[in-house]
Amino acid sequence: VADTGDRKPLRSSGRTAAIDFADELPLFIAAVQDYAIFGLTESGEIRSWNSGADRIMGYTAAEAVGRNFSMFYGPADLEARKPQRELETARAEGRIQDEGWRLRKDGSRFWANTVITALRDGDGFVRGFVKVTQDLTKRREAEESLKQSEEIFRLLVAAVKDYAIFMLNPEGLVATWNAGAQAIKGYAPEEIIGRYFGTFYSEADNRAGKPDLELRIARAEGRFEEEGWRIRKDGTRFWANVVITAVHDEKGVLRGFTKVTRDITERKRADEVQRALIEQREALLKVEEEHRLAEASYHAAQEANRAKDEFLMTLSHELRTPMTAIMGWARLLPTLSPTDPVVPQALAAIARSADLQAQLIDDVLDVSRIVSGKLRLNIQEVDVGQVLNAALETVRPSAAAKDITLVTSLAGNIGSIAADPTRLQQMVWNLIANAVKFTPVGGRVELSARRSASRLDISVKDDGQGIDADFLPHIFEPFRQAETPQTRVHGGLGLGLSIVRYLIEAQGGTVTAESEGKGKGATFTLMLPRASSGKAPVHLPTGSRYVSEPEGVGRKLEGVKIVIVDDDVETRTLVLAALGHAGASVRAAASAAEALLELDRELPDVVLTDIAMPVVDGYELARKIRERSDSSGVKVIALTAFSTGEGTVRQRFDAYLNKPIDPFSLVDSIAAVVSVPGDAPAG
Amino acid sequence: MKSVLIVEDDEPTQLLLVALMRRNGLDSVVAANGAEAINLLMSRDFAVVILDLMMPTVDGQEVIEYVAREKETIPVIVCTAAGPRTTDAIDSKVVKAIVRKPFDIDDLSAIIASVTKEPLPRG
Repeated sequence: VADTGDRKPLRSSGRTAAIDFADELPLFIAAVQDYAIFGLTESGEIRSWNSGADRIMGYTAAEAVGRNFSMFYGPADLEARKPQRELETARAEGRIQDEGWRLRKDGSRFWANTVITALRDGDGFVRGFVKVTQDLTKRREAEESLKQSEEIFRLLVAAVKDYAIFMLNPEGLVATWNAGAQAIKGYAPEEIIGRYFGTFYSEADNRAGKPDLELRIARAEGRFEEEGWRIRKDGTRFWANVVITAVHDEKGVLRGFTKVTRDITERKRADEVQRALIEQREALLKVEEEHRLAEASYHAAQEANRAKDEFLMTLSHELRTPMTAIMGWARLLPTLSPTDPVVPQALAAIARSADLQAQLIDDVLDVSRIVSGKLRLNIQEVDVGQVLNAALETVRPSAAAKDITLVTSLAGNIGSIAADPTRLQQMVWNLIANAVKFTPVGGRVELSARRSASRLDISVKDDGQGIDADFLPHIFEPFRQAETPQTRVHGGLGLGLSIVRYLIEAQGGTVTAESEGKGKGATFTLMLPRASSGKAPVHLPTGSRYVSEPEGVGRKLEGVKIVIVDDDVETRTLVLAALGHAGASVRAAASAAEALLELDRELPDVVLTDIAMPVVDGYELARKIRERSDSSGVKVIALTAFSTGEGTVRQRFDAYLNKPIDPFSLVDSIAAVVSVPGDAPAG
Repeated sequence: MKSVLIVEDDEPTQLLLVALMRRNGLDSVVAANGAEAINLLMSRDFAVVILDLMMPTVDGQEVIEYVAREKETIPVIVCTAAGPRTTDAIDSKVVKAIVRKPFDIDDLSAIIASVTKEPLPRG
């Protein structure tokens, strides 16, 4: 039961008992606040007035009743006789609904939704009207503002020049077109609306199905964005940033796509220009860096050049010094009495000087091989103790001359290691010889070796002059000596340690130098990693490489027939003497032609030939000898001062021997070749 | 006749020069470096100094300077394995000759004779 007690008193509200809705209908109508409800006579005179009419229209019932309802219409409506026409329509059709502006008592407008219903009597005659008016001003304002904002938006989109903004239908046909689209793509709306948007893509893109693919992606993911080339109406390209967005209605049905395209050709160009500028700058920096490096390497080259100049000066000096004694004694000895007590000393001096000079040449050749990458190692299992002793024996005379004590300390069984035996001995010899050289008279040099599971350490320690801390980092560099040539205390080329470093590194090891400083001695340590070669250890001859002991030569070549071929008479003379002394029957030839004549006279066991000779060289001679049907028993041995082309020499000859010649090892080498049975030449 | 001072650090060459002087009828004294040479020059006179340049401790140049300063009457024969760059720099009136190693013993003998005004020995 609705309690209406606090409401505005209703007319005829005398009863408080249960409401009879049929009887009380006029009361309800009077109470309705949200609708203006009032009765009109046939001519439009107001006869009743509810509280909603009070509220909406601003008139009280007393003010409104008796007046014509046309007072709610504005002048234009009145002029158009709208009130009368509405009544006529309601009369004819039973009702009329309208929306439009109406006037309140205070003259203000409100947007009214009105329904005028004709009231008929029992006979069907129209006796009056009831009019229900609703104030829809607020709704209309909202609709208006929405319409306005939509219009503004539409205008905005239409007016945007920098962006092509248009819609595609779900099939990809252009549905709308803005000014930006026209500006960017060149089509007027009527030219493009209804056409497939693939028009904006290149033929290749269309063939590849790119437009459809983009729509599929936009549909699946809601959005598709890319940058790429697009085509204008006139066929020119532009670089576009494209965003395609799928548009769905509230039920999720795809309504189409918005496509926003920007022409960023200029930006791309600007980007490219900027990128080009950056690249240019980087290139410039690179050029500058290269220039800097080139300058640095130029300075390094200059420095290297200077070092080489100095080296050549030193080399010349160091080669001339032993030459002085050799040449001088060669001239002076014949003028002395054979019994002069200086003669044996002179011979020893010649041998020492020759030895020194040969060593210098060997070092230079080693460095040359290292620099040209031609140094070959012959790795095999080496008896370490034997190598150390051999190196030590070689140095013993010079140590004795300076009264230097040589001490060895080999920890237990040193055993064997994989290395090049000759080179290992050379390295150890080099370090001991250096130590002796830089240790004053009466000093001490200690050679020690220790092996662990993974490596072999060989150390040479002296209590000599030590190494300046400034020079220590450079000690293994070639052509470096701590002194300048003018004040050097010690001869030599400054190559030994650089050769040692190269040799040990080529065998996977290292060499280190330590010194507390000047006057505090030095320790050099060779470290070789242990890796067995699985071959049997080899043994090396001891003593100087160039001045062997004369004893033991004996008559090793007794009865061996030898032809010596050399264009240098001194070499022929030396070889003749040495081989003849060993019992060989030797004939000499000054050229390949002479040698072949000697072969015609009698086949020898051995042909010992120089390689570089005028007219026909040693290679050609070897070939000619091989061609003879009767020469299968002849061994051909090369005798050469060349250090290059060893491979070729090995192939063509049964053996090769290096100049300068040590007569005693020459005898041994030839004896070894002759003792090898066989008729076919090697290679 | 005064002795020849041989200033030389290479032993085989020392031996050679001593033997050569002996054959030429000259006495000689050996100094193995510049310092020894200057010590000897301070204590006595020599007919001639045969001087190597590149030597330990005190080099030949210092010996030349000492002779020029203190013993300018003693002629010096520089006998060196060094190249022209080094010998061209020598500028002293006491240096009467420069002999490059390896030298011809007869040439050296002739130079010594001319410098000391001694007659050449036979041979």
